[in-house]
Amino acid sequence: MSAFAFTEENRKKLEALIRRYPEGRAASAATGAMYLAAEQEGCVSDAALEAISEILSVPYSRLWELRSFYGAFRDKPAGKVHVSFCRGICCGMKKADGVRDACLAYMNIRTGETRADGLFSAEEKDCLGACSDAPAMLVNGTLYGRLTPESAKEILKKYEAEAAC
Amino acid sequence: MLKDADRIFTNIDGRSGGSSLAEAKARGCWSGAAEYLKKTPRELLETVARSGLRGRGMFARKTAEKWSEFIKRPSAFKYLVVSVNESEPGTCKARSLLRYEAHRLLEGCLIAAYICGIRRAYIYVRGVFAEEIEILENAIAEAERAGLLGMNILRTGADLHLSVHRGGEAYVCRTDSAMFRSMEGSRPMPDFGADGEKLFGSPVLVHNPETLCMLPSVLTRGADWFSSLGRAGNEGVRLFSVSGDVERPCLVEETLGIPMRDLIDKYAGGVIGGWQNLAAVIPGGISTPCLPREICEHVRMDYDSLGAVSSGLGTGALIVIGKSSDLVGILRRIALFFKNESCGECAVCREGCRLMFDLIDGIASGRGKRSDIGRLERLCEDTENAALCPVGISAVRPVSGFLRHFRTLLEERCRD
Ligand code: SF4
Ligand code: FES
Repeated sequence: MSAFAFTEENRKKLEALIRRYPEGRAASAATGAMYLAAEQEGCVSDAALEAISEILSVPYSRLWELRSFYGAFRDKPAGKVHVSFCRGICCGMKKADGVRDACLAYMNIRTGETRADGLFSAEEKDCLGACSDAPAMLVNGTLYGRLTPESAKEILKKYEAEAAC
Repeated sequence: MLKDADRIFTNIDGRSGGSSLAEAKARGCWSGAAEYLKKTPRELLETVARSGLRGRGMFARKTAEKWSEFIKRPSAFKYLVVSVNESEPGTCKARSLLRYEAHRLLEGCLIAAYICGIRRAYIYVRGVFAEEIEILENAIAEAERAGLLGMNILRTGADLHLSVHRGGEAYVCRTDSAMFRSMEGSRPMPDFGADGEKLFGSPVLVHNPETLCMLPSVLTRGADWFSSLGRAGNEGVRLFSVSGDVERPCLVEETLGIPMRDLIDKYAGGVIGGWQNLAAVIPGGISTPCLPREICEHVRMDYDSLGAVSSGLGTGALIVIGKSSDLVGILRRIALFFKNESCGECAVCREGCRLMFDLIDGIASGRGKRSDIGRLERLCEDTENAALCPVGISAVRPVSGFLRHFRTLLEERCRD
């Protein structure tokens, strides 16, 4: 297991998160800490859980359980460009399947996979809360709506070019 | 139609900028705060009571009644939690609300907290709204710097500390006690213990963001103005989203009681292929039962009118389904969602949701028998009667609603 330590900046952010909750309630910052870890290393690794466990004085097993319960966290790194396709009903009515398939073909992976070169990864999520802009997807957390297979591929190309720099 | 002058959400589409304090102030946010904070909480409570405001969340309770009860709860320390865990499929208000109307929400928090004697509040936001959380955090920081939040607000002696809690992804957090456990860093499961309904051991008031956004206008423009909008018992306005098979999917503010057809025709550009092509509408997010065209023709969008046709206003998110969309496939998708989201605490919901999905899946793919439909019906009854939290009941309602209106569509797919 490789070691994990929060950067100075993230450590400060985490301290500020802990202060949002009453004395002795540092466990409340657990999800916040996981988001910070995910930002820092692209996933919430076991090593990150250990670091969080120490800082918050929350048992490792409890954090492990939270990580597996919430769909928001992954234990293996995502690609540099991570795409979440909406599999909700409204997107489904607006041909989201076509958008997803075109993107997957472009990235050359299936949902749930990370490409061998680490560039792309993809997953499916339930309603992204953007139904009036269906079909929608997230790329690295940023929302894109009213997609067509072509416009979606253009967006991926843009990210691809940025990731290459 | 709602007059522009009567709009509360003047910027829900972002037409006049973002959520910076300066922009929000230019739109009138916070303008009445110094005035109304001079009045006593009692006086303000009376105004809210007279306005008739009902919660825009699941239970649609009269806000003033809920507060009166809450105020009586003995505790020196109380919390306010705003639930922006919008994950009801089909619902798409939270992003716009946080992006463009964040200060209206913050001001609403201040009002509710002031009236109810609360000094600590959290806005629980679904984790996937990453960009919006950043905007909200900035809005809070700006309000604090301007003395609109924090200690001794506008030198009136009122305090309110407000922070964001970024949640994980779990639909079950729409049940309050599950959300509280999640905020305490435990696994989000509904908690039926003696202190299940407390947060950090203290009483907590939970609100839907939309309800809170109404408050500044109710106080500055008056209860009479508010109750003049909408219909008796269903006063005021609401955000509605229209998506699915319409020409122009949209998010709009309208009075409660507006005919569904007006929302679809006047705001969303009509059903794709014309009204004749309409198969059904889900009126308020997927846990509200869908309605066939004959009912959509005349039903009004308010709590009581939709309740009268055995559906509900839910989240106010209409999903319009045209004849070319596969209704049974959509039902299957809904059942799959609930199968995945049942937290598993009660066997009847866990197993019920799984079985409902299996049966619907079988029928949708042509493997089902007619007797399966009867089984589905009984399952709905059992699950609805025994589910411990609203999520279990939400899982059943779309299925039983479907059986009420579209049973024949299922029968056609059966192999016998
Ligand atoms: S009804 Fe379903 S979601 Fe609610 S507590 Fe029971 S199993 Fe969990
Ligand atoms: S269904 Fe895709 S955003 Fe709601």
